[in-house]
Formats: sequence, structure tokens, C-alpha cells
Amino acid sequence: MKYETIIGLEVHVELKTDSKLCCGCSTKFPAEPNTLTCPVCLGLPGALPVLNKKAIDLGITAGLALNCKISRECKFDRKQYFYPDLPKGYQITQFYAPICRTGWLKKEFPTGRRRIRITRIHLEEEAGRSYHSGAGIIDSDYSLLDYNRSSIPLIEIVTAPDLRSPREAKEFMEELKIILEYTGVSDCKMEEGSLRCDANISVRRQGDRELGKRAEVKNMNSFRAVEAALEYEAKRQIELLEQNTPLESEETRAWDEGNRETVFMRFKEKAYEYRYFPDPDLLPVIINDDWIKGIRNKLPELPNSKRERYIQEFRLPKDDAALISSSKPMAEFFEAVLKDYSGEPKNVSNWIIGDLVRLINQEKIEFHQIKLKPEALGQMLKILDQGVISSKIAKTVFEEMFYTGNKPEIIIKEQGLEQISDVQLIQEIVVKVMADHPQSIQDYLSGKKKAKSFLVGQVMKETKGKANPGIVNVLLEKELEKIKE
Amino acid sequence: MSLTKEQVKELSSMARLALTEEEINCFTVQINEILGYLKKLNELSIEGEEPAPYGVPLNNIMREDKVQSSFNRDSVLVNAPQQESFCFKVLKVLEED
Ligand SMILES: [Zn+2]
Repeated sequence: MKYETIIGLEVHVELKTDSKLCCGCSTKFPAEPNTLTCPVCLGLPGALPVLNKKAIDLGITAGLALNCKISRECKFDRKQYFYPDLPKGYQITQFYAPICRTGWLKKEFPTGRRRIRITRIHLEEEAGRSYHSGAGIIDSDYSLLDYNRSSIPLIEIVTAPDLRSPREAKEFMEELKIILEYTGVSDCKMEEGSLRCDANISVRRQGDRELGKRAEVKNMNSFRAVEAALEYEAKRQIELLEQNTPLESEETRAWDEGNRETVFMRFKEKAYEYRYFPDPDLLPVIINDDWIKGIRNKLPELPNSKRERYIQEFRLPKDDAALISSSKPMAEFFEAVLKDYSGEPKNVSNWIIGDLVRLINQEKIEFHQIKLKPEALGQMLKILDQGVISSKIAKTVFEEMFYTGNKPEIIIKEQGLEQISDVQLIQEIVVKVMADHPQSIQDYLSGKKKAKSFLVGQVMKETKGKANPGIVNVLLEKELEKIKE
Repeated sequence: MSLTKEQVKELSSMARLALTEEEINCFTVQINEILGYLKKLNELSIEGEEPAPYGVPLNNIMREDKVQSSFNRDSVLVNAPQQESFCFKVLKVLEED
């Protein structure tokens, strides 16, 4: 029996603003507990919230990047519940008139390209952070509350149940992250909690029309956790279906990273009564065409279209194009190098994907922190193409540029790294090396071709890797021929 | 429409108010009196009128994304019934069943 897995996501994304949604407190992280609060974000009586325009701008930006309809009238509601991390006793959110509706994200899955529909995007505020005294929430005697995060602006992106496997869910999240980073909506740091998701998942027999009862899975703190948690949950639900005991009512479960399983939290049948009503303190925001147009005009080229363009225009292999376009600073760096360098774009992507990414990982820094300038890489590639340095020396020059930010021509000059193409000089070294290694010549003459590479290596060693390998080869060949005769 | 005693009990639990049986009885009467008063509004003709949840005819009241100074932590924590490590300390939080 074949089964189909059906997944929809609710993605929470902290917006990249300097100040909070309704007050001027800073959003910086990390910070000393309870140093970034005021009467508004602490919910003290009489405080008056005023909306941060940037949060609305970023909500519109996310909507446009995800092909959504932007609401002309954007309103805020109060969602009431009691929890210590919610100082006002209600959360400012959008229930009746979300900022964006009905969009989509096109994604290339292993099974083909599909559109994943976005049902809605709404703006809301973060809750504070709680720390529990025990190992987990259950065995804690008390909790400690830090309200620095309280009222940081968020968007919640809700997808239709269009994802068909845990892997698709993970890949969708990765793509979404790239888009939100590109457009400056969020810095999407899953480890710091600025990007989080809950998943609704159900299974059904292939060909069935009706959806099965679903479970909502929470507490997935990495892309890998999303895939692992949903794999586990799909398998669990299929087993229940095979035993003829499918889920009877909807439930909420939490991913337990340590035990690699989803754990039952509660049934959903008792719908919470949140008593939503329009927040009378926050007046409606009317979004007109000019506002939307202004934001649309400032949208950067999105990763999808960059990827296509790199394949078409620069003839990059699909994987290179995907990798480089996956990071905005990397893509910008790549394009900047090509402004100075008119050689093969693949040469540029090779250096970025190879040595540059390796050094960045090794030094544990972010791409935007590198000292290497794109013009410097372009210049180095020109020098390499002209044969002034060998490709082996280029690696040395590249590392030096990476660590110092110096220009390649200066590094080459100061360290005397120019390639030696002086035939007479190389000839002398070849002769010397041959005189030093009579055994290798014997080996070569008795048919061991490897002996020649050894001799080439010795010449390179003599010249500290600077001899032009082409010339070394030709000259050595000549000398060996002479001996044969 | 009038509220039953059961509904008032539910309301008090949503509002986290622990009421005695006597208080429930009293509030059931009082709330129904208020509701009766509000019922008068139903007599108005509002045909063709848009709902008006906001008291003032204004919109797009926003501020620029500028950081302003926050409150001093000591004065923030003055309101904490208990504190520890510069945090508000609260009793164990459990989901109700
Ligand atoms: Zn504040």
C-alpha cells in the first residue's frame, strides 16, 4: 500500500527592524535581560503603542517576494490569552485583515517544479522569553522571564497543504530563508529563533481524496530537525493507519531532539477561545498603489531568477549557479568580480565555491565579513590567465589576499612570486636536477614514465613552484631525448 | 439574549478570576442587566452603515524605525513580585486540562 504525506507549514519570521513593533525599544540580540523594555512592551496600564512603519514595509516586501496580494487595508487585532511571556494579556496580531493573502513560491523539487501556495501572511508581535529552572518545562518549579523580545515584530507565513514529503518541507524552508534574507525581511537565524516553523502533517492512502486527521508538530529548531521530525511523524501515522487505528482527533506534538521522536502535548479538539477583536489603540493602515510600487521597485533580483540567469548568461553548471545564488553577498561578490574580469565565469565560481568557501568555513566568519575584494580576485584571475603566475602560486596569492585584503600585484611583487618563463634559467635548473638524480634518469630510460613527473616536481621545488610548468616539461623532454640517443 | 450561570463561570475562568458561588450568582444578574441595557442599541437602524471599531476617523499613524532609550532595569523590576538574575520570577507554568 502506498501512502501520501501532506504537509503545510506555519513559519514565524522575526523582521529585521532596529526597534520593536509598537515602541522604540531596540531589537538587538543578545542583550542583558530586561534592559530593552518600556511601558508599551511591558504592557503597563496607559501605555500607547504606535506602529513601526518599517515593519509594515517589510511585511509588504515579504508579500511581494512571495507573489501575494497585498491588502489595501491592514488592521490589527488582539488575541487574548494568559501566559507569563505575554505581559499585556493579549498579543497584537492580524486575524481579520492580514497584510498579505494568496501567493506562491515556485520550487524545484526532485520530483519536478511546483508552486507551493501561500495562504496568508500576517504581522504580529513576539512574546518574551522564558527560562525554566529544571531540565524542561514539566519539572521546573518556576520560570524566569526576560521581556527584551516582547513586541519584536514578526510575520507568520502560512502555506497551503501543498508539500508532499518531509524533504520537500525542509527544502521549502531553505528556499524561503534565502528569499527572506535576500529581500532584507529577516536575518533568518534559526539557532537564535528568528526563523521558526510549525508543521501540520497528515497521511492518506494514495488515491484517497479526503485528508486524514492531522497533527501539528512544534519545536523543530533546525532544517534538519524539520525533516527528521516530519519523517518520524509520517512513519508513526502510517503505522497507525496500517493497524486501522488512524488519528481520531487532531493533536499537537513536540519534536524531542534528544530522543528523536515527536511527543504528544495535547488534543486540539478544545479550540481555544482567543476572543479576537480589533485593537482600538492601533488605527488601520491604508496601503495604496504608490506605497506598493515604491517597495516593488526596490526589490532585488530574487535567487530564482539569478540562478536561471547564471546558467543562461554565464554558462555556469546548475549546481554552481544554485550554490552561488543561495547567498546574496556571495552572488553580489560573484557578479562584482565579473565586472572586472572578462574571462570564463566558471573560473570565478570555482575560486568562490572552492578556496573562498573553504577559508570562510575554516575561519568561522560570515561571507560579508571577508577582507578579499572582488576587484582583487578579478585582477588575480587576469594575471593567472596571462601566465604571470602559475595556478599553484595563485593559491598562495589567493590565501594572502584573503587574510590581508592586499592586491594581488603587490603580493606577487613583494614575495617574488612571478612565474619564471626564462628559458635559459629553467634550462640550467633542469640540467642541475638531472645531474642530481641519475637514478631517476635510469628509471625513465627503463620505461618508468613516473620518473619524469618526479623530475618535473624537483624543478618546481628548486624554483619554489614558480617555473612555468609548460616550459619545464618541454625542456626536460628535450634533455631526456638527448640522453636516449 | 441573556447569560446563564454556567457561561458566567466559563467567563470567569477565561479571565482567571476565582469567584465564589455567591459572586457568580450576583454577577450573573448584573451582567444580564448590562446586556439588557446594551440591547437598546439593537433598536437603532444601522442599515448601510459600515462597522466602526475605531473611535477616531484616522489612519496610517506610524513612526519611523528609530531606537529610543528603554526603561532603566531597576525601575522595570520594581513591578516584579519576585525576581532572580534580573528576570521576573513566576510560578511553574502548566497547561490546564
Ligand atoms: Zn518597549
